[in-house]
Formats: sequence, structure tokens, C-alpha cells
Amino acid sequence: MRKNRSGVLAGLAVAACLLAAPAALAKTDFHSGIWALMRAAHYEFQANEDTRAWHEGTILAGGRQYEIWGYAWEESEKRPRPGRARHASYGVFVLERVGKKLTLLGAYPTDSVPFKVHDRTIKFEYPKGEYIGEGFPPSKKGDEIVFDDNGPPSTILLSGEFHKFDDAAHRTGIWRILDQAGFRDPTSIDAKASQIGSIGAGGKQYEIWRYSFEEFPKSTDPVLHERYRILVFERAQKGLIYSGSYITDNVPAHVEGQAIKLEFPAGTPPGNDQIVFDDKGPPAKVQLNLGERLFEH
Amino acid sequence: MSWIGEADDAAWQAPVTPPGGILDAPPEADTGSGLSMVMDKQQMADAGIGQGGGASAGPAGPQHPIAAIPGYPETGKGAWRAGLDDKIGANVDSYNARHGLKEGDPLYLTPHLVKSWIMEESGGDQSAFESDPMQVNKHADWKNTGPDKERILGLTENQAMTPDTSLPAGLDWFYDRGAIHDERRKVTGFRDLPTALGRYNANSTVDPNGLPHYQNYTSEILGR
Repeated sequence: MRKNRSGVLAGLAVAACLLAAPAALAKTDFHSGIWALMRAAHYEFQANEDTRAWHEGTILAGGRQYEIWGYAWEESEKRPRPGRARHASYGVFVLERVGKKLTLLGAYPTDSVPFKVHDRTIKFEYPKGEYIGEGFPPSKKGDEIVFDDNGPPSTILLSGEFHKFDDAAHRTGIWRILDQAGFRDPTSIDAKASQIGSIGAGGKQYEIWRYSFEEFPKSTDPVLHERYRILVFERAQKGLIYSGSYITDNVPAHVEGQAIKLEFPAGTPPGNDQIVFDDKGPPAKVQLNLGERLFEH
Repeated sequence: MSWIGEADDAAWQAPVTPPGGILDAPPEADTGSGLSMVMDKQQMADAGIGQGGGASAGPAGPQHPIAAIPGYPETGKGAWRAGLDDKIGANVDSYNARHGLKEGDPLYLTPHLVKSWIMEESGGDQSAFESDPMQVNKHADWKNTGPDKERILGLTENQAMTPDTSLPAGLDWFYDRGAIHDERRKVTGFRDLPTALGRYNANSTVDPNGLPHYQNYTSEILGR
């Protein structure tokens, strides 16, 4: 009997939701404005009434104009979930305006406190008694994000918690290819990559990139502090496909013919400073200055 | 309120209430069967009905059972809630040792507290409980917290979770929420336990009782 009653109630609830849905969805068009920019940069969000974004202010710094938006996702009571806990997350989005064009630069995760924009500063209104502490330069206090002439800082320290700028550039291009391929090392803002050449081998065309990750600021935490790799992508009709990579030292590299030359210090044994492609493409393992290195997929 | 699984259980349809509300359990751990009203412990044990120790989690049961959390029965169709007792105990020991925490330290955790916390996160859905009991890699959270979770915990977006990945990751995420860092990224202090738990949840929307959700979340976990 109770199940039947529950079923009827559930049916009524679903019907009520369906009736209410058009009105609720009409409030926010999740396919235009900032939502379209977020989609293009592959920031995923729940396109429903649990999610909202609002323009909070403008920052002028280094001759550029930045538009500051708040973002909140607060799981509502009606969402199916596996426990009583309702999750939430909050953030600040930074966009750059050039004329009429807006470009999404990235976002910071933040605490669930209101904030205001003054001059070059995003100021968070932590309640009295909440720990604030010091900020990460150029910010002085742990309740602010201060832009300098370079724009939004890569690292912030809010209320004693570190966060990195989740920049849009690291969500697109080769970073997205690496993410989708399950690349195991960081692809966030402290990771850098640059193309050093191309190699044709076995009828295929490969693009060679040098990758580096250096944790900033350096921590004593048991986490990856730095990593250097040579990345190999295959150029296919639909674009680049990540083939794999070799771990290397922090040394420059360039391409000569079918070889990737690593510029180790003088005294490196002959042959231990290069990765030579053959008709099968990149070799499965190579002997480098720092020992044997496998081609990791 | 919509729940995954067991939606016909009255306990699961109740709104969050302050201590003293209808979710409060009887003083003794209840089996959820009502048999404790008419059978003593020995009679129930003889009938194969566990009582609060999680012995019904499987044929062997946990080696180091943690008492059932009030409101989250572990007998009959709820037996699965005892299934992680050994893993919870081992991960809590490992967490405390990893961070050099001892009893009395602000972020020191006990198996009972963590089990209560897990019930708050996934105690209403066996599938979630057996994959990501700490709900630390919830997809909708990833947009804001993902880069930090990737850096600190080594998690990846949409990673298939198991209790063996969820428990240490959830506990370390809690530790990071509770730790205070200086500009050199060094831990210089700690928040108190309720504040750290509240930051793990972080939902500041107001519940029907007029309090922010994260406060009710914390009260529920610590009040059992």
C-alpha cells in the first residue's frame, strides 16, 4: 500500500516537474552568453536551476579589460543522490573583453562567500572569525585576488587554501587531446608545451612537442614536483592523435631529420642523446643519458 | 526530496532536522527490523540477525566491525552498510599516521566518525557506497574542484572509483580543506573539525531549519 502511494506521489512529482520545467528553463538559456563560452572551453556544468552565474564587476589591468563573473552550483533537495549530503561548488570566472568580443580566460575555485570587485581586486567577504591569513603575491591578504599587469594570477591563497587558475587554454588544443588520451601527468596551468618539429616515418607524419611541468610554488607535499617529456602526436586527417611520450631530463630538444636530439651536457655517451624514428615510427625504448626510457602510451 | 534507492523507506524521506528530530535513532543500535522489540540479543544472533556490529555484511562479516550508525540499519537489505568496516578502519589508521595526527588533534579521525560521514554521503545507495563512498569524485563538483583534486589527490575526471581510491582520496581532501597553508605552501595550522567537515561539503544554501546546509551536514555527522 505504501509503495503504491509512493508511486502515485512520485508520478505526481514527475508530472509537476515536467509542468514546471519550461518556466524554470526559460529563466536561463544555457546555450548562450557565458554558458556558450564555457561549453566551448569544455567547462562542464549542470544545465539546470542548481547552476547560476552572474556578472560581478570589471577589472582594468595592464591595458586590458577583464569581466569578473561569479558561478555557483548548489545541488537542490530534489536531485537524486546517494546520501543526505547535498554538494555545492563555487567559483569566479575571468573573461577578457576586446571591443564587443568576450573571451573566457579561466576560473578560480572559491569558498562559498560573497565577493565584490574593486579596482584590480576581487575581495571576498569572509564572516567574522573565519581564518583569512596571508595572500599569495601580488595579493597581500587571504581574502583577495589581486590582478597585476599580467592579468589574473596563476596561483591564489584564499583563507589558507591554495588554488590554481583553471585556464581555458589548458582545456583546449593539445591539452584536451592529452586529457582525452588519459595522459598521466598534469595538464593544468603549470604545464607547458611547445612544438619542436615534425618527423615523417613509415608513411606517417608525427608532430614532436616538448612538455614540462614544474609545480608552483614548490611544496613539500608528496606530489609530483616536476616532469619533462618528449610528446609524440600523429597527424591524422581529423587532427592530432596522441601516440605516446618519453620521460627526459630538463634539457632543450630539437628535431633533425628522423631524430629528436636532446641537448644534454657535454660528455654524454654517443647515441645516448637522441630518439631515432624508423619505419615503425617512434622506438618502443631508447637509451638516453639518464638511462633506458620506454615509449609510454 | 528524491533519493536513489530505498525511496520507500520512511527514514530516507525525512528532511534534515536538528538533533532531536525524527531521524534520531533509538539509544541502542536498531536492526531496522523491529525484532529487537521482541527478541533479545542471543535470540537474534541465533536467528542470524546481526545487531549493530555489521556481522551480516557477508558470510564472514568484517574482522573489525564498526558499530552501525543510528538511522542506517545494517541488517536485511541494509547489510551492505557494514561492508566497508575493515577498509574504513584501515584507511583511518593510515590517514592519521600519514599526517602524524593523534587523538586530540583537530583533524584526527576515528573509524566511527568516518563511517557516520560516509553514511551522510552515500548511505542511501549501495552502488554509490560500493564505488565512491566519500563522493569525492562527484562529476558535478569537478568543474571547480577538479584541478585541485587532480594535483593533490591524483584523481582524474570521470575516473571509475572504488572504495580503495575513494577512502584515501576523501580523507586527504578533507585534510586539505582543514589545513591552513602559508604562501610557501607549508601547512601552518588547522581549522577545527566541524569547520573542516563543513568545508568538505561547502554547500551554503539554507536548509528548511534555517541553517546553512554545511552546518546541518556537520551536525548530522558529529551528532551520531
